Order: sequence, then C-alpha cells, then structure tokens
Amino acid sequence: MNKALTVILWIAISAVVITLVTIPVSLQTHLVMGAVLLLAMMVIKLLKLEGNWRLLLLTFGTIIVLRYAYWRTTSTLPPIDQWMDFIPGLILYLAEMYCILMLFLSLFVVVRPMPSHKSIRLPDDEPVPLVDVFIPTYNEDYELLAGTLAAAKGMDYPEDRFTVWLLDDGSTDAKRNNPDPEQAADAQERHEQLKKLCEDLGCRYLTRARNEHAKAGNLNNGLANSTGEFIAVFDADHAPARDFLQETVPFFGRDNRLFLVQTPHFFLNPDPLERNLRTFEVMPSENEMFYGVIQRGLDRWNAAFFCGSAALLRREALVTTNGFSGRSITEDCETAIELHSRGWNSIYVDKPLVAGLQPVTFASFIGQRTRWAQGMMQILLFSFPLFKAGLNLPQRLCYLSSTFFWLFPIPRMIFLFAPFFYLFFDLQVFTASGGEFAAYTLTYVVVNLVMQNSLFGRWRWPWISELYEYIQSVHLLGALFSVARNPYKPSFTVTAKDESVESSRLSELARPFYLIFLLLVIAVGMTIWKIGAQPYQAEVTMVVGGWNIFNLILAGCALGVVSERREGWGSRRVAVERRCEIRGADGEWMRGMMVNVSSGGVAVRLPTGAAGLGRGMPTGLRFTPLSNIYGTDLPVTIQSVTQEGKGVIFGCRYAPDRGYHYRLIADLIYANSGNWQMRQSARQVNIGILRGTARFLGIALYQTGRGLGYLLRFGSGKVLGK
Amino acid sequence: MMMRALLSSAAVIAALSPAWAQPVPFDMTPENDLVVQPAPQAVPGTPTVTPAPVAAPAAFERPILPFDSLRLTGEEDKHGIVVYLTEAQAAAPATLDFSFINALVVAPEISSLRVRINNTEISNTAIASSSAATPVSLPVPAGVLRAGPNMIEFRASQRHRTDCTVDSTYQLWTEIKSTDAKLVLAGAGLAPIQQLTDLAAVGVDAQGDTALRLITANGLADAQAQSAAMRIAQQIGLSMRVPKLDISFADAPSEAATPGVLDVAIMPAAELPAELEAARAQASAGPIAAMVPVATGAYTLVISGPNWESIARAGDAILTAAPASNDRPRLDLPYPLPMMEEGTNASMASLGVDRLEFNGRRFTTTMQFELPSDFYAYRYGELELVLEAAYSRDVLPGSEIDIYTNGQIASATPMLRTEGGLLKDTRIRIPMTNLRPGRNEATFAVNLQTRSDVACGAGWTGSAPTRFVLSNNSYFHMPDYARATTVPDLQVLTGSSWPYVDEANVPAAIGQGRDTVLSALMFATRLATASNRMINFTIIPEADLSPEQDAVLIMPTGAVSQTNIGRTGVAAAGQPGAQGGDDSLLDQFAGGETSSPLTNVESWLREHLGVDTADLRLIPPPDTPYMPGAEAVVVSQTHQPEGGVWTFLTSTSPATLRAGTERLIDTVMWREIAGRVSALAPGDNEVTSVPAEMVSIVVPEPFSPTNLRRIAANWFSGNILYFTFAIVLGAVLLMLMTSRMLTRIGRPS
Repeated sequence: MNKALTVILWIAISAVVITLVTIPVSLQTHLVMGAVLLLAMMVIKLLKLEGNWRLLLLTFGTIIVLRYAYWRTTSTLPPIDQWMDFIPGLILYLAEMYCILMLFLSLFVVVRPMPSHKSIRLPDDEPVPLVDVFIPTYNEDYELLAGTLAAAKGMDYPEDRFTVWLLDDGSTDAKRNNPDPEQAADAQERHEQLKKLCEDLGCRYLTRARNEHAKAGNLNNGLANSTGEFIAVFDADHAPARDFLQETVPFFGRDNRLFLVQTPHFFLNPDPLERNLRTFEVMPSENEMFYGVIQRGLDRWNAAFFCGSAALLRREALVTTNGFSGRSITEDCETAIELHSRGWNSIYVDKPLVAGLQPVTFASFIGQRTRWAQGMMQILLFSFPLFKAGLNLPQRLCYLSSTFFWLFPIPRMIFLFAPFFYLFFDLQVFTASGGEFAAYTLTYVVVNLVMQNSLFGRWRWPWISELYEYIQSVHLLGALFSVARNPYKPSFTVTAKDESVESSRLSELARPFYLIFLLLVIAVGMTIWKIGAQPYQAEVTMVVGGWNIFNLILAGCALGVVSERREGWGSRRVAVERRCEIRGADGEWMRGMMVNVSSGGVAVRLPTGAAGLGRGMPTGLRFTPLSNIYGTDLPVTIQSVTQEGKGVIFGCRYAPDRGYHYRLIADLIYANSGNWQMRQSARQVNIGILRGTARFLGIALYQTGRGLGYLLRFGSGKVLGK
Repeated sequence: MMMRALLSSAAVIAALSPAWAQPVPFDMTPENDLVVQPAPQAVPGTPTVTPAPVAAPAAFERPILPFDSLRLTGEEDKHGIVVYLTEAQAAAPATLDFSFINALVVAPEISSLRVRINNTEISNTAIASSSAATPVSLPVPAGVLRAGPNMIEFRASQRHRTDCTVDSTYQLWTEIKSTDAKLVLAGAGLAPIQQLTDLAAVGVDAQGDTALRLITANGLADAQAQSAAMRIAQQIGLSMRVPKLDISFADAPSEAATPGVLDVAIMPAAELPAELEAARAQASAGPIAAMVPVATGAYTLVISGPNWESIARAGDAILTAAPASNDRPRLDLPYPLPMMEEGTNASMASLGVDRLEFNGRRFTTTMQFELPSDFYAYRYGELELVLEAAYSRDVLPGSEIDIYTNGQIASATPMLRTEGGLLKDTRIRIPMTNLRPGRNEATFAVNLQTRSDVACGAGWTGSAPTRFVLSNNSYFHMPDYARATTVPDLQVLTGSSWPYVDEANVPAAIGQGRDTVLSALMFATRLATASNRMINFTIIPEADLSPEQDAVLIMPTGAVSQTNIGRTGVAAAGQPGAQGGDDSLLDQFAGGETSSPLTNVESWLREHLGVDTADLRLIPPPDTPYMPGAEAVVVSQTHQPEGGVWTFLTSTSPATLRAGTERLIDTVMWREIAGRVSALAPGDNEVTSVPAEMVSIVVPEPFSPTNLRRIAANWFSGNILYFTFAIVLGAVLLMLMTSRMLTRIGRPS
C-alpha cells in the first residue's frame, strides 16, 4: 500500500469514527461506553503495554475527549440571549476547546517520538570541516565566561579545525563611548579583561560598533567575521561537553540539506520551583519534558527547532536567510521556521551535551519566560505557522503546537476564576445536570489525566504542568496582551542566571499570588455558606466548590514557589570518581580521589589523613585532564575538612588565576556528558497518577504552610505594604 | 316545512346532474351528502316517509359527557368536551343542566366552578356542594350555541379551607356525573338529524357511550358484506367524532330518537325492510348513504345500493359530509391537537393554554400534540419547553416546575433564585422517553413553596397575592428527530394505525360468527378514531393470508389454522415453550424477597445511572409465543420473515373476544396497549403487555444520512453494548491504520 492510499484510508476511517462519535446517543449509553473505554485504558496502562497498545490507549482517549467536545459544544452553552451567563460561558468554553486543541496537537507531535539518533563518526578519508563556535555574551561575568570558553576550547576536535569566538555585546564601541563616563569605563574594563582572557585561552574575541538586533545581530556579526562551514552556538552559561562536536558534526555529512543539529539544554542548578519545593533531585525538571519528548516528537516530523544554544548550524543555510532572524525576540525559533520553510532539515540529538544554568530567582525565571512567550506570540503574529508557505502539513501543525502552547496563561486564568462566576455571582455558565456532568466531564478529566500520563509520564508528574502554568500565568497574561497590543514592542532582555539567594525572602513578584490565594480562600468560605444556605443546589455548589478547592491547592503550592529559600550558589554537586593528587602542607603531592565536583569547587578524599592541611589553607590539585591542556595543576582553597574513617574529605574551592585553570575546571565539570545523562534518567520515572497526585497534595499542603510562614516573616513590607 | 323545501331543492339538483348517480363522486364538497340522500319525490306520496312526529316532546335532552364522570382536581383545573348540534338544536333555547359534588375541604367562599360554552362564560358558581350533589341549571344565552361543534368547558378554581401545603391540593376535587349533565333544548322537533353532516349530533348517551346498532339482512355473514361493514363502521366512527363505538347487531329498529344510539341499516336495496322502503328506489339505482326519517324518529342511517360493491362505496359519502378534521374535534378532545413535525414550535396558546396568574400552590395544565407514526427518538431525544414565566420573591427555593409526558415524570426544574425570578426563554429539556406515535399528553406542573404559606393564616389560601405568572407565549420546541418505525410495536398501531393506514388494501381474516365480526368492526373503528384515518380492509379467508403482506387476523385462538397460528405470536392451547398465561400470576411473589447480587447491581444501575440492563444485552432472547390467560383478549403483532406485519386480535371464544374488545377499546385501556403482545383478562384493570425483543426497524423513504444518524442514535441508546463495540472496533481500526500510517509518514526511525 503506498503512502497516499494509506493516508486516504486513514482519513476514511477517521471520518467513520467521527461519525460514530457524534451520534447523539443517550447519557446512559455514553456512560457505559466511557466506562468500558476507561477501563481498557487503565488495563493497558497498568500492564505497561507498549507499541500499538499505547496507540490504542491514545485512540480510546481521543474518542472520549471528542465525545466530550461534541457534547460540550452542542448541549452545555447557556442561551445567547442570557448574555450574563452566555459571555462567561462562552469564554470558559473557548478555554476548554483550546486545551482540547492543544491536547490533540501534542498528541500528534509526540505520537511516536524519534528514538535517539545513533552516534556516527566522520569518515576518515574526508576532510574535517571547519567549525566556528560562537559564545555570545552581553553582561555575564568573567568567571562564567572563562568557564564556558574553557569548556568550548576543551572540546574533542582537531584543534586547528575549530575556532572559539567570544561575541561580546557588553563592550561594543557604543558602550565604551557611553556619555556616562562610569559606564564607559566599565565597558572598557570588561573589554580589556575579556580580550585578555581570550588570548590566554586561545579564543577569538569579537565585538561590534553598536548593539543592533540584540542576540541575532551579535551572532550575525560573528557570521560576518568568520568562515567556518558550521556554526556552533553556546549561551554564555552553557558549557559544552568534550564530545559536543563529535556527536553533532558527522550528521551534516549525511544530509546536505541539514541546517541544524539541536541538543538538549541540561541544567546543573534547579529552577526556582525545584529549588523552593526541593524537588530537583527526585522529580524530572520542567525542561526535560520539552527536551526529553517534545523535541524528539518534533524531530519525527522534521520540525525540531533551534533553541538558541547547544546547537550546530550550517553556514550555507544561514546565508540564505541573511543570518539569524531578528524580527522576534525569540530569534532561534524564528530562524528555524524560516529555514524549514525553505526546505532545510533539522535533527535533534537527544543527549545532553551542554551543561547550563537556569534562572535562580523567581523573578528572573518569569523574565525568561516572558521573553519566550512574547517571542512565540510574535512568531504567531508575524508568520502564522498553519499558513506558512513552504512548510509541509506536519511541520505546520508542529509549529502551531509550539507557538499556541504559549497562550496557556489565558485558559489557566480563566479556569482559576471561572468558579467565581457561580460562587460569587450565581451565574450559570455551564448548563448541565449532575448526571451529565459526571458522565461527560468527569470521564473527560480522568481520560485527560491518563493520556497526559501516558504521553509524558516519565518526564512530567501529574499536576506539575498545571503548577508551572499557574505560576507563570499570573505574570505572563499581561505580557501576552502587551504583544497583542503592539507586536513590535517587546525587546530582548538577557536573563540573569548567576544570581544567588543569599537569604530567605519573598520574591518581589509574590504579591499577586497571595491576593489570588486570599480570593480563593474567600471562595471556599462562600462555598460552605452556600451549601448551608442553599441546600437545594448543594450538588452544583459542591462540584464548583471542589473545582475552586483544586485551584486553592494549586495556588497554595505556588506560595511555596514564590517564597525563595536561602541557597548559596554553586552547591549542586555532581558525583565523580577521578584520581588526583593534592599538595600537602609540606609540599608533597599525595594521592587522592575526587568524589564530587561542582561549578564552585571539588571534594577530594584523602585516605591517609589530613596531611597537615586545614580550613582556609591554599593548596594545589593536579590530575590528568581529558583534553590536551597546557598545565595540570589547579590552585584551590580548602573550605572544609570532614573526617571519614581514617581518611578525610576536603571541600576545596577553585582559586583560578590563569586561563588554563579554567580549562582544568571545565575539564572536571563538563568532561563527561554520560554523567549528566545518568543523573537525568535517575529522576525520569513515571510515578503514576495516584502516587503523583498524593505526592502533589503533600507538597502543596507543606508549601502552603511555608508560603504563609514566609508571608508572616518577610511579608510586611513587600506584600502587604507598598 | 322547511325541511321539505330543502329536500326538494336537493332533489332538483340531483335530477339535474346525472353524474351523481354514478358510483364515484362522493369526495367533492361537504354538500354532496345531500345528493345521495333519498329524494322524497322518488317515492312520492308514501306516507311512511313523512316526518310527522305526532307527540313531539316540548324539550329535547342531550347528554353531553363522553365519559362516566368528569373530575376536576387540584387548585386549578379545566375540562372541556365537544357537543355537536344540528342547526335546529343550536337555534333552540337551551339550558345546561348538571350536578356536582365536591370534597369537603374545598373552601366554598374562595372556590368557584365556571362554565364556558364556546369561550363564553355562562356561569360562575361557588363550589359548595360537599354533602350532596347540587343540581345546577344554567340557561345558555341565545347565540352562544352554534350548529356543529360546541365546546363546553368546566373550570374549577379550588382552594383548601385550612391547609397551605402543596400536598393539601391533592385533596381538592369536584365531580360532575355524566348521568345528570345534559343540554336541554326547548322546543319541538329538535331531535331529528337529517343530514350526514350532522351525524355527530347523535352524541352520547347518559353513560357517555355511543352505540351503533347494525341492522343487516344476514348478520354480515359473507366476506363482501364484512368488507363493506369494516369500511362503513370506521367512517361512521370518524364522522361521529367519538373515541369509540359500541357496535351490536339489532334485530329491530330503535323505538325513538335516542341520543348516543344510531341504527345503521347496511344491506342491498332489495333487502331493505318495509320501514326503510323510502330509500329503496334510489338504492336500487346506485349507492346511497342517508339519514332516513322513520316513523319512530329513531336515528337511522341507511347505507345501501344495488349490490355489496356499491354499498361499500356508499359509505364514502359519510366522511365527505362529516370529515375528521381539526375544526371538527373528537367529542373528548376539545383542545388543539397539532402534529409536531421535526423542528416545529407549538406555543402554549396554540395548545389551548391561557395566560396564568396564579396565587396557589400547585398548578397543572395538560396539553396534547400528535407525533407521526415513524417518530423514533424516544431513547435519546429531548423536547424543549421554552418558558416565559416569573415568580415573586415570596417563592422559596424547593419550588419546582415538573413536566410529565403521557403521565410519567419527564423533567424537574428547581426554582433556585431566592429573590423572585424571571424565567425568560428558560429552556427546559424534556427527555422524549415516554412520547409515542399518535396522540401525546404533556402536563406542565408547578409546585410553589412560599414564605407566606408557611405562616398560613386564616383564609390565606384564597387571598394570597399572585406569586407565579406564566405566559402562553411559552412554547414547545420539537427538535429534528429520527424517523423510523419499529415492528412489532402495538403502540405505533394504536396511536397511528401504521402500517395499515396508508395501504390501498389491507387483507383481514375474520372468524366465523357475529361476535367475531363485531369485534373486528369495533377494533377497526377504534383504530380509525385513534388515527383519524380509515383503513381499507378487504376480508379474505384465513387460508389466503399471505405472509408477504401486512394483514389483520381477528378470530378466537382455536379457530386459527395450524399454518398461521405460528405466525401470530400467540400460542395455541397446550403449546410448549410459550410465555405468559398464569406465569405472571405465579411469579408475583418471586423476586421481591430474594435479591441476588446480580439483581442488586441491576437495580443500582437503574436507580443511580438510569441504565436498564435490558439495554445492555447483546443477543435479545427470542420472542416466544405468548400463552394468553383464559378468556383474556389479546392483541399481538408479528413481523413475518417474509415482510408482512400481522396484527392478531384474539381470545378463547367469540363471546370473550367481543366482551374483551369492548373493554379494550376504552380510551384508557387502548392507550396502555404496547409491545408485541398486550392482553386484558376479564378480571384485570390494566392491560398486560410484553415488550418485543426482536424488532425490525423500517426506515422511511427517501433515504437520508441525517435521518440514519438519528436512527442510529436511538437504536444505539437501546443497544448500548453495540455502540461500545462499534466505538471499540472503530478505535482499533483507526489505531491500526494510524500505526501503519506512522511507519510511512514522518522521519523513519
């Protein structure tokens, strides 16, 4: 059977199924059918059946969701002439339909994610292509850049075949000639320091006259000044692993139309939610769903897109679009959609090859998300993916899914406030009897959970998506409207990632979360009052009140997210086992073992005793680096000494003062990408719907208390006052 | 004098138009009945024809109620009936006499009984007759009555003496006995009915019945005579606008003009008796159907002709003269009865409901409408009532609006707002579960709990301010519904006479004997009056019945041949494997006490989820032949494998068949007939019916996909597992296809 015939047959069967689904059978018939399908789905899930069984589970789910959508559309909207009910009813309906559309789009995207691409090697007889490595920077500090440059320089690739470029937008001519002499001096100092660093590390330093077109402009300046066949882009805080080029360059040899090999962003530190909820070590990170399954799904449809960093691109392709696109503030995705529409291909290599940092504070996290959301909205407005010429249908759907996703703040806020229409204003926005609600809405909600869990269970625990959406929605909603008002207004803001939370405090963005929480508590009170005062409609009140309580749990959990825990920077350690030598007080080198490393320091076990070393003492460490580095000794300072049996464990802090010291540190931290993968897969466990829900409830309860506690301790000035 | 002039003019017309003598022309205009009337000059000078009632009474009494008694219940109730009058009767001075008795708890000072004739209120009396029936005699103002249909309506507004609860309203009633309810028309010579148009003026007797006395030559012994009689009885029933006719053979003519009794002579011209001599000449020439004046004054309808063939055609004039139409309502159905086609609206005003301002506790009003024989949406569809109403702030939550369809609760809508509410365009969705082809009743009921009723001061029941208003612009909206017919389904037959009504020729086999023939005539007539249409029966010998053809079989069970008994769905005596009979009698103690886990699940499913386990069956049990109880009358319908739909009316003996049929055609019983078999034993007060398990669905032409979809909705709703299987099958196919497609599109793994 050829492809066209298969597609036609598929469409025919779909039409038959849709005809069946939209037969207006009685409520009881739907109920029995729904129960049977749900039972079958649960059996498939419990037995962990894969392959076509998983597909069957998704098909069953789709049918229930479609029936819900049909019923919701045909029988639940309030009459138009009762506009007080109708308008909020329609808004709620549209929000639900958006969710259903997104469910189907993501179903399409991840129906069969690409398995990992097998690593391939460059053929021996072919010349090794020239690669330019771009590290754009705007305001990142010296240490961070030194680490990244060092790691880039340490990549396993013939040294003469790649050039590392530091593209400094922080000390452009314009900045150095700033009318404010102080700023001009700062820029000048930065300029000289970084130039020196690059010289030390053997990298190229490049800056430009003016800061035009933000990051895209900076990268294009790099393009203009270089000639390599391929361009690797790393954010200033994304240090590549040694094997980055080995794992990416060979793919270009296979496909002349390949413009992009994207790799995941792996983060060494937790995002604010993970840090404040203490879930970083156990729960899959937020971005893992995107990099773990969605990009792989997009890859199936040749729609994996450029994420701004950790990617290798083909110069020949970039030239056709005059470099990186700079119309939107998400230049990465925009560049990808333009190149896809010109017939270029992309692939996604599902292996963490860079380690980066994510925003530490809630405020900078929101800042980053605001940029993404606004940028994606700009793409949606400037080049609506569904009608974008040059893309094939799956690509259109994929980009639609990627951009539409960022509309989530709107329905999330609608779901948050919808119960109020009934609880406070007595509006009937959803006309259905209790029986209908149970037969249609409840089965839909459960099926939705089962489907989400089946699609994303390993990468996303139940209710966590809702929590992430909620904490972003409160501030993103306004940002979305501002794009809609003026699509050209948003400007590129650089996300700060090197902050730290020195002391526990409330986030500066915490206020609305407490206000919403208060409103929800009042609504709970209203629910109780209504049940008592209006027993004749207790059934409806309990359903709506239950929904409100779900919102309250979510909002309570969010209070924990905006209550920033104190945490020193650089405390995330990666376990390693690597031989080393440490210089004792007497100058003798003694054999030890490095047991874990972090971006700030290293722990060394010395089996024989302290060797006269103590807290605060400067000493040295040497080990065999994996890449070819000129020197091998790394100055450190002893921060702590812990007895362990006969031996001791030293906590050492790096004290680099030479360029190659940074390369040694990079060699320690970023040497082995396999290490990161292990760490990721350790937390990628599907804990199931029930356990996940129980766990979420536990977290939510605790975090509500902690959030309220923080409010009492730190809230006087910030939340309640001005 | 006047009559004589009229008849002569008719005779002139008849003489001028030779075409009228030919057999076909009876379907032209209502005046045509004049044509086939016997022209007196055909037998000039014959003294017997002269209508000269010697001792004409000074007054003529017409009983009016087409049932035993009329009971008005609750706080507000109304009941209407239709009385047909001849022109002379309408012009005569009239009094309406009746007597009523009411419940003790009805407060006389605030309760009233109003009588309206043709929407003119002629009386408003206090309801104060709890100890004994109070006779009432109401003079009817001149000009209120008119020739043809007159609606007489009794409206009671009753309030409880002491109690302000909704429950107390159920104790309120006023009853009017049919024996005393009559229209007394003053004057002489008012009894005669001379035109076929006025046939309905025969009316009812004091018991509310209408009797047809057949005067025949040989008791309709041969098939031709029976065929003709089947037509004529239906035509008479339809034109008399009665719900049912008691038909009997009479040896002698009635002795006087008696309301509710019609003598019908059906015989060839040659056999007409002496007293009907006047009609003979014309009857010899061609078909004739006419009210023939006789010496006794008895209502005598002569249907005759030179032979049976022409007699069969003669009856057509009856329906031409007095058709069954909307402006000629049935005696017991005075209110509008619209046909609710798909997508139609019917306002309450068009269904005969007045605007309401109500200060009581419970208000009900019943409306009726008709559905076509292929209405097939009772399992999934919802009828909508778009309500325009309002209630005062006195009304408490807990009050509700209930809709009943055909006596079963169908929807309950609570009134939730506490500070009064405007129900504007409020849509109440009413499951169509109890709707059926034919006539349907929908009752709108509102129960009002109010703050002031809690206090319930003295006299409050009557003096409370208006608390509920209902606009009769409120309307029912009938959605598009599935059109198909299930076979067998006796409800379709009794409601709409399907499938026989549209057929040019319906073979009917009738057993031997007068009782059997009468049963057939009554059954056929009841079908006609229920559906307002006549069925073209042709009597054939039982042996000639063809299973390919829709047919009717009416005879005692024992008389059915061995070949056909197996096709009737009813077991012959002693046949093994039959169901019914005394089983239900013996089973009455079973089930109640012993409850297996399975029955627990079943009842839980039904009570909490509304799922009937019968709808969950995959393979329905076979419809085994029904074994009727002794002497019970049984109606059975079967769908022959060859295609014919057979209806079988039977009993043990001709006598029990006739007695049973007489009871069965009573409106209350008639509407209980359902399923594939319905039986009524002599001792029963209710019809027992056996639902059909194996049903076929007949889809009407032209074929339409939207109709098919709706039919599927109804069918799947009764065959839930099939729906589930269809969905699962579709899902599996879709999954396999998707899986296949995924290996062909997208990037290969």
